[in-house]
Amino acid sequence: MCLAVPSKIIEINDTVAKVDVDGVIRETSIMLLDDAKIGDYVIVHAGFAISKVDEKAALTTLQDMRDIMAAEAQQVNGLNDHL
Amino acid sequence: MALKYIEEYRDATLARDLIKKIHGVSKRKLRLMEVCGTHTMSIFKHGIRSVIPEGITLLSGPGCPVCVTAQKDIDAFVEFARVKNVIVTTFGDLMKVPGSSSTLAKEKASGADVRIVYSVFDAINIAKDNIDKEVVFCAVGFETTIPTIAASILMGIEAKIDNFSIYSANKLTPPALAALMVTKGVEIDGFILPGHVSVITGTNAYRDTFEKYDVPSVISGFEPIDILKAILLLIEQNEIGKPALENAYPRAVSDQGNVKAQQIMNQVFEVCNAFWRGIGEIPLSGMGLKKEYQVFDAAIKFGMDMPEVPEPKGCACGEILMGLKTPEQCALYKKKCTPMTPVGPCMVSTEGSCAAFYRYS
Ligand code: SF4
Repeated sequence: MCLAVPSKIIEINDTVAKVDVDGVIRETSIMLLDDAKIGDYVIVHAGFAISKVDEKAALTTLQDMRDIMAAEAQQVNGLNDHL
Repeated sequence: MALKYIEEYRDATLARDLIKKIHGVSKRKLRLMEVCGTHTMSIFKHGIRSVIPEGITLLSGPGCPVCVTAQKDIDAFVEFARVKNVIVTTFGDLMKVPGSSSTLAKEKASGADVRIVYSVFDAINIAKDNIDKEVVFCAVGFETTIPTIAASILMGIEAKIDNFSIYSANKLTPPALAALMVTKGVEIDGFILPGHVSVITGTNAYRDTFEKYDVPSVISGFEPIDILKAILLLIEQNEIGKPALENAYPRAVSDQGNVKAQQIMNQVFEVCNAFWRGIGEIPLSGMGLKKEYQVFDAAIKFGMDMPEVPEPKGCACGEILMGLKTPEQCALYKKKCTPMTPVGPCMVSTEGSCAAFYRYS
């Protein structure tokens, strides 16, 4: 029931927004959001936008994971160098 | 190109690294439970079960709204379809769930006006277009869906619609987790907490349950990287013996959640006891209409009170929802019970554990 894919707001008329989800345009209520703006990425559930996607958090999470993996790979390499 | 953060969270190299790390840290056998139908689907779709260590068992908990709906509530939905002049509106997943004597799909085939809607909003519009009829919406959902129902009711009031009502079988997630923790025989080493329920409730909603039972808990998104990361965190917490409540989906979930949605939900609904399939009554685990909004209560409007009935004989949905059995351990699985001839809701709903096993094994 949940659309796990973020949709982009492309038009707002009062409490109804048009969103683009991978090229498909749908109408979505933004009644449950406080400050929806055109250009925001939102998560839509059963015809309602329920959350904005925090772009910064989205990228930080990925970067953090990559950093940890890289650091560990380096550690392993470092150990190998000593052997 | 509107598919943002999808490719990134499906990155194969990162996924491979995560899988390698998971295998590196995993020592003990663990039972992890996902509590969201969309997670169940995603785990199967991306083949996550086959890439994690053998000792890690993934269980599908009570996270598919249709699967936890009590038999008497399904019977009520069927009964509404039999009332003259009533249009029953429902999410598609409910159509084929067998009640004691029939299904909504069968009622529709024999002439009842049953319509599948994508959103409660559509049900309100059907009511607007059919003022000489009564429109009943079958409300099954968790925290993600309940605010949308509340918002629709407020819209209904604004549009002065009086031929619309809902039958509420809505349910709350944290009380179900707490109930599982005290159920005999249930062994869970960690919860993969539902991403979009948590969007509404926030991380804070799980704090009491977490503090009481000290069980590792991680909120997860739905892409492969999200789920692998949640699994890794749960294994790490177990291995170092430090349970924690972590939010691994911060791009959508905050500590306090969607406060506006909570306000709208709490304006219209209040906490009540609720019946869960296979589990029984869990105190304060449901959401019923507040007194001021009871004109929208279909159970009251139509005096609908179906008796408690036993679940279909041999169906192990309840035990499966609690992680006590896997679908393969149900005697009816793949024999009497298939997606074409489902016996229980776990085989009907695309998010159900039995349906997912059937489709992907
Ligand atoms: S296989 Fe069918 S009968 Fe068995 S638990 Fe699943 S839904 Fe119920």
